Amino acid sequence: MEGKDLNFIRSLFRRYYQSNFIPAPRDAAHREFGFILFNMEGMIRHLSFRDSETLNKYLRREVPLHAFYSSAYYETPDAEDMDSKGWIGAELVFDIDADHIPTACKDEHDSWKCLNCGESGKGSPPETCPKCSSKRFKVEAWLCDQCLEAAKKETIKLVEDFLIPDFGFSLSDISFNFSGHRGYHIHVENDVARELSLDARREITDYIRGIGLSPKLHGFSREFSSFSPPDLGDHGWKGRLIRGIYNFVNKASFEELTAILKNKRIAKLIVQNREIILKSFESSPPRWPPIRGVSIKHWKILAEHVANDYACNIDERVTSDIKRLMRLPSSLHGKTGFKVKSLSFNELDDFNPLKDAVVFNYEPVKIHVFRAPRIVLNDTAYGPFNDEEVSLPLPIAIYMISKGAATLLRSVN
Amino acid sequence: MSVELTREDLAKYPFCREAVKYVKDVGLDLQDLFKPGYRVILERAVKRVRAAIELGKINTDLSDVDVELLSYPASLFILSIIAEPPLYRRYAVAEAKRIYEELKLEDDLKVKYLAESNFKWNVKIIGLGLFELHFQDYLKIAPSFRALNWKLVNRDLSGGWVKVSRGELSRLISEMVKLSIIGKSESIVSNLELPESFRKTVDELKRLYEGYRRVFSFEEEYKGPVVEEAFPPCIRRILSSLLKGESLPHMARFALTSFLVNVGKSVDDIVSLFNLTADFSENITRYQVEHIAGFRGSRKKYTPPSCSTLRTFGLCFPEDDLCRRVKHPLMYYKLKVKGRGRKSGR
Repeated sequence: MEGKDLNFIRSLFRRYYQSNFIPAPRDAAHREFGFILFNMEGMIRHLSFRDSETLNKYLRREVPLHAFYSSAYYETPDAEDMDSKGWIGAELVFDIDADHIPTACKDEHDSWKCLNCGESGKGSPPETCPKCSSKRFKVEAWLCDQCLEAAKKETIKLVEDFLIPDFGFSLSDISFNFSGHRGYHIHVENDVARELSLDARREITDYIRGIGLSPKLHGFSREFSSFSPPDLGDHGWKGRLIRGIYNFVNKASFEELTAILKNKRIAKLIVQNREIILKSFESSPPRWPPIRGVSIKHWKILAEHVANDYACNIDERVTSDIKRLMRLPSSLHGKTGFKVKSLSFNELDDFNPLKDAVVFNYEPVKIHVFRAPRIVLNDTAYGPFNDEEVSLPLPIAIYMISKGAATLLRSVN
Repeated sequence: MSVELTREDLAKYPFCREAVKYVKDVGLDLQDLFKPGYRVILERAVKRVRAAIELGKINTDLSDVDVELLSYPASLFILSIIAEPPLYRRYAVAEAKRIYEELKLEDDLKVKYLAESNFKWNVKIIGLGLFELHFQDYLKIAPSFRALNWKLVNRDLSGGWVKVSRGELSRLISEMVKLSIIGKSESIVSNLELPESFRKTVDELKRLYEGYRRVFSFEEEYKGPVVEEAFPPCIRRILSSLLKGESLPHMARFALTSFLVNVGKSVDDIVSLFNLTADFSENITRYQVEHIAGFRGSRKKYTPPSCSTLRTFGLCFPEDDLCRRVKHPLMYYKLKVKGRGRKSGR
């Protein structure tokens, strides 16, 4: 972004920061702040503000493209060297981003290009380039209502399946922010969360992502054949695994079962005895289904299969980084122009980021779009566009220009 | 609920608050240890350190509970004079083993009390020999254990509480004691005037320690390209069964993985080796390899088992002269790589 585009976006950001008061995060004086400014490479960090007033003074003066604050608390947040900041503690933070959630629509709007050999494709980038096995890609990812909906569902799952029942956190300790782009940030703040070590946080992410999960240790092992299987009402992963198997058996086809078990005979037995299996798991206490030929070994294979669906797709790097900078709530995301919006858990359900995180009016702006997929704003669809001049509502124009996918033709004012 | 600890308990658990207070009240000054009247305490302390060096294990001796209790701070004092951090580790492990063995036999209330009063852990008794520990406390220790059954994802976790057995809680407590003993090595200050007789005792322990040092500290790291031809026969054999797709016992997997990690193979390479086994799960294998490589948990890179351990597990297949000269597969590798360099240099 440069020239008139940059000036256009900056003037809009300036207007926003001058007419809005951005509340400082709790205990701001112990946090580090960082900013990326317009037309300046790199991040300015190691800043500290004693209160909301000084923070807002800075925002109005500098009009940053991106604004961040540390999830950690420090004795001396403005010390230049991380080691001399004096780490006191940190919120427990989770990042849920559409990038980490497989959605079908990504094939329509996202694409990647290998930085090594130039190979390219649709959707999320593969783990390694199919042509040269490189792991470095240039990714083009777009805002999409369906992806955002998936991220929201994942956020609700994190809270309702993990943070509250398993970890015992309460809603009053958890705050939610729409990231301003493709996901949500979930912050847990209380005495327990604050003191967790790096290793502890890593264990928590592994728990939520189901990493290292061994169904064997949850009772899916021959050693447990004389015991009852887990109960459908069990807590934690034990319960998730057995409920997963129950739901899967309840509706799986012969073909699906064969694909997973790699055994037609067993798949057939399961389909034929579906009712008996469900009844056995439902009974109190539950019993291993009494079907000749089907053993705990097979239930273990199904448990491994369903585990993935019950895990939650969080970005492990964010949670296990105790010195990370997070987006400042109520600031603007410089890649979209959308607001990083704080929400309560109740508001989350009806929240539509492509409407509720918009801070600018819908006045039409003439821009030249190079290329962009379809985008939905305030329940209206626009595009796709391919090298054309169009008049679009200001929020979309800001988004496309910020992304470098369009250039301004005529300013609104 | 408060639990009354007996003097015997203090002797068994000299790390606890009550024991520390008792020692303080007795007014034992470390300088006193050199006085003739305290000889038995000093002797017991030396015995503790000696057992840690030689056997890696200390037994509780309750024939005189006062001596047993007072010899604990005395042995820490001896360690501070020898001033070798690896010895602290060795000693800490031996004490932790002793404490673990004792705790396992205690009643639930006492185990709970020790965890609460010394470390401020949140513990609930939920059944006979069954406890719940808050995950915040559980995660202070458990991530440093390698076994999968310690991983939070494989535990019963509900409302913030992790279910643990008495044996497991005992293990967590003893590990906590181990860490606190190791922690003491960071603040070694010792410029005391030592009486001649004591100096001699310390020098003897030092010599003993030097003799064992090579066995238990593989501090030197090997850096260089991986030379597969220099792998010892045990590792070669495990590797070839793996490549044939045979299933390997736990110890063989651990020996292979830790060996490969130490000669510089990447985690990705090692994980893909296991890809061939029937029960392969990328998820679990990667986790285990990363743990052994020291990327997780205790951040400690594991060293492979020694030759004698491999022999015990039936994994040692000596083939050449070099096998007879070394006590550790990594030593074999280092010598072999060096030898090759010399030959090609000629």
